[in-house]
Amino acid sequence: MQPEPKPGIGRRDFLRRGAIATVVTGAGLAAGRSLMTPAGAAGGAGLPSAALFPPSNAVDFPTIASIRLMTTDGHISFPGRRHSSKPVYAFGFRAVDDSRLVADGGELNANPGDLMEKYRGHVMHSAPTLIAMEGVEFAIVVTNLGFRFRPDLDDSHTLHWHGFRNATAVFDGVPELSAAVPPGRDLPYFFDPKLPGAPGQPKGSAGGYMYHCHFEDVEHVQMGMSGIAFIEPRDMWFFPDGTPRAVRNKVAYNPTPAGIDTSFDREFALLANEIDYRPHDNLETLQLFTWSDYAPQYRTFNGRAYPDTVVPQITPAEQSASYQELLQMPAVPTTPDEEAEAEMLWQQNSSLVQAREGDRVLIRLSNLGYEIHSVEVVGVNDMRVVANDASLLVGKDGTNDLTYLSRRMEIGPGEARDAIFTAPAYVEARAEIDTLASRMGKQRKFCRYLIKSRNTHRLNNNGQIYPDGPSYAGAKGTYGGMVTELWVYPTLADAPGLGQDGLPDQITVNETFPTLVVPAGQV
Amino acid sequence: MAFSTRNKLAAIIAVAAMAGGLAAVTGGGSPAGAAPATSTVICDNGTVAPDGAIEYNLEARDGYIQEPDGNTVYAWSYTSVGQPLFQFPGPTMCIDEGATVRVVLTNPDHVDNLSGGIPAATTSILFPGQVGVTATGGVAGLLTQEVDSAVPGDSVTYEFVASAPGTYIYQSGTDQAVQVQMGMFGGLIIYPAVGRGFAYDGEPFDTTHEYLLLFHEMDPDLHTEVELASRNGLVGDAVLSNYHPLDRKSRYWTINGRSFPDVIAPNNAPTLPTQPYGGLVRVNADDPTDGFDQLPSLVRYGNAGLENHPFHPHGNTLRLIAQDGRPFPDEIEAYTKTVAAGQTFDLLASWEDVEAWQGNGAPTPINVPALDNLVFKGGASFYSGDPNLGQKQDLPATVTSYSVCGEYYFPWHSHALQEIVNYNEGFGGMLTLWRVDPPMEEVSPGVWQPTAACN
Ligand SMILES: [Cu+2]
Ligand SMILES: [Cu+2]
Repeated sequence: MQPEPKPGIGRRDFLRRGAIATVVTGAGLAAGRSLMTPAGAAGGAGLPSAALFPPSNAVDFPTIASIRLMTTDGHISFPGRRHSSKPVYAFGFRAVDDSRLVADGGELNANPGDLMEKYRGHVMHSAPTLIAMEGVEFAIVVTNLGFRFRPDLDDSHTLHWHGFRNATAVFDGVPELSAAVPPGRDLPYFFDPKLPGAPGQPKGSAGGYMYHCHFEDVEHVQMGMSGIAFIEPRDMWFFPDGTPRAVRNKVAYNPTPAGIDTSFDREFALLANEIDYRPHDNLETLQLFTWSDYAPQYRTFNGRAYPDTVVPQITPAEQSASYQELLQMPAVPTTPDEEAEAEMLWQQNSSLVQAREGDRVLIRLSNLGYEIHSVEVVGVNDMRVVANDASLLVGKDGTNDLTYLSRRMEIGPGEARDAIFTAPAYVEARAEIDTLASRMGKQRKFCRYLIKSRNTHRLNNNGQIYPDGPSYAGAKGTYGGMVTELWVYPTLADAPGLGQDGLPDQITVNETFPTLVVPAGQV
Repeated sequence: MAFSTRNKLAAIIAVAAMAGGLAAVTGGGSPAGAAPATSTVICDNGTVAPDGAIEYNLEARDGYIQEPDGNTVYAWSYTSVGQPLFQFPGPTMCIDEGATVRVVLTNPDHVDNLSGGIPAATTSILFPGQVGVTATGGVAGLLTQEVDSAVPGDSVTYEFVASAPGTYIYQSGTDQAVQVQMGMFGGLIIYPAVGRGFAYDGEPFDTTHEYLLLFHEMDPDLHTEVELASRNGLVGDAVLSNYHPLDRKSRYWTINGRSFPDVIAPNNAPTLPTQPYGGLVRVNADDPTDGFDQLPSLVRYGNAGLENHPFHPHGNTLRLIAQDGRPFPDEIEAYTKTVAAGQTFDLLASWEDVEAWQGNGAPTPINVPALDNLVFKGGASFYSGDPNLGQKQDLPATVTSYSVCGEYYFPWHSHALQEIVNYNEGFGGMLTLWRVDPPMEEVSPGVWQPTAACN
């Protein structure tokens, strides 16, 4: 069953309409899949008034590009700590499923009280990936839904956009230095991602960031309130003369005199992190934890430990818009793979990297754990690191190319790297059948490579390699933790036999083929 | 989650504020009243010897330092001869390029707490990054000449020519796992020949805004073991007979020998008599349209600890200009930089007032909800009550405001977040703040001063 395409909310629709000009002129509306790129003018008129909120919490809903993130608690799953046994208690951010304005039948500016029943206790980890556009002001409305499993706690939350250039104190999200959001309240955070100045002047805002809660930070960040954010460069959407582009220009950074090539065919954001389940367990059982004892048992990409990392992206039906390939998740899993996928209902961000041979693959890597990690793409020797902390590796006046080739990225807590590599060879002799595609009735084959931490002593799940997880994880039973896979498909032109259907073009970050779709109300 | 310890946080900040710890922030809290509290680098310029060399006379001393959770930790460090109180870390040596530097290290001939030397068989100083260091006197050690504590008044003289401008650490070259952990380190700055207003040739900075942040971490169990040995008159291998290195577990993380919130107490805060160096970083916002060429603040990182620390400023991306006292060929920007053990970085920090936030009306197209609907953690806040830089409004009546003049505060901290605790209390440890003041004002044609209300 395919969900009905929803007009006017998805970036895909938007692209198909070719209505790029409205990207910046259209009044704010959060797009599908938690993208905050203002996608189209629909709903731009008739913005709701503050009257929709109770007088005691009268927020003027932003009239600019906006997204709503709710904070709550819930449970997440790791090998050995499954939902059926003892899932790990977590805090987190999550987006509303239907990010249209209330006036349009959506949930974007609904009263917090009306969202609680549906969302409280339904955490997401890692948090939704946020995408903004350089030069376009936006707002993130944080709504604290409170905790379902520890209703005795009245923890406030904040949103800190880590690394934002020239931030303002009031919207920096540090509770001791501004304010925090108590349960039942909203706070809109305003951001103005600056365009680049002239050479020698401050660089623009484009690049890779992350975000997290800063309230009781050591606890709330470890509890799961962390996600990836990035800002698309002006050059992606506009020609240098300001003319809107008809087709999205896939570049990670704006052009510079140094001529650094940041173009890509496919983009993937990976958030490195760790889970020490002891503070999670302690919180659930009203115990204390001594934070200087921190010693994690799981290392994760995008909030999942291998082999879960390769479960495809999961998208609520309301946000899935008109995707071509959708694998609806059954209400009751019947096969082992469906069971493995159902474990990830609250961890929807996939780390599966799929590309065609020769594609330029952009990896946006960031780290919100507390350990330093070394991440390598096994079989790729010439990965070009093009940016460090949302800053293109170019010298002060824009002429010196400071990018470098590497086969791994070391990354400390709070750091970010952007790297581009060419997808390695598809070798027919060792190709495997894409069983995910088979479930859609498609015929595709791929060659498997690993993306993993080189800190191999950490590549286990709580000291063990649990055999559970989806059948299509190639190194299952070998590794756990901070591992994911790169599946390389033939180019469309030479896809023979089982490769006949080929790998579709990717429209948005971390998009997998297929994407799993959660029917409305399932999570 | 509501830890019982959480309530202590407000108390710690409140106590720090009352005790002058936040005088830099609240203004007027310092004993002198008028003098603005500061944490710009305190330079020890040494003394000029008859032969023209810049001379430092240091002793290896022991004493006690305070942690914000109430704990007191026994520590070792270098202290100038004749200085009544032990200090942690050692004095910051400031030297001009080309100078001959002579450092004489003496181990006092008696070992007792707070007045004597350290209970180590030998000790020494290394000057990583300096070329052609000579060491004379004492006994030969693994890495350099060492002071023999069995010989009363024994000393070693280290000498080098300050040839490469930059930021350095000096540290013990003896039994480093113990001695550096106990605190035997200090900062060393070499200014370029072009003058002390430059970090390197061609890198000018705002000389009223120069900061040195030395990182360090401590396992108090080791310090306690060493303290017991000291009391029992043990030296050498006997000192750590009950401590196994594999059991090492850091519990306190410091900047300039202090843990947050003590870090933001001003230099020479009377409440921290053995920890003289503050770590609050300040910048004057740059208004690109006002005609005043606001230079950046210079921040010097030095990791004197044994572990690597990812250090992250909120508020803006910084410009990295040098590493280990050697300039990069071009600037690299970063919003987090992992500083490896023993590593130094020089960074330029600035904050552009591009929106003219200072009082030109509503800076944002959205409204912040009524503050009564939000939470101010611990009943106190550094928030000015107004989104604009340089503007102040009342916080809710129950909330204490630390804002002086509507300045901005941002944290600057280790992003290994378990390091921004004091043992287990959050919002502590390896954390400081940076304070963004409104742009300089032109008080008369061509004369620029900081906003009076912020001073
Ligand atoms: Cu952060
Ligand atoms: Cu922070």
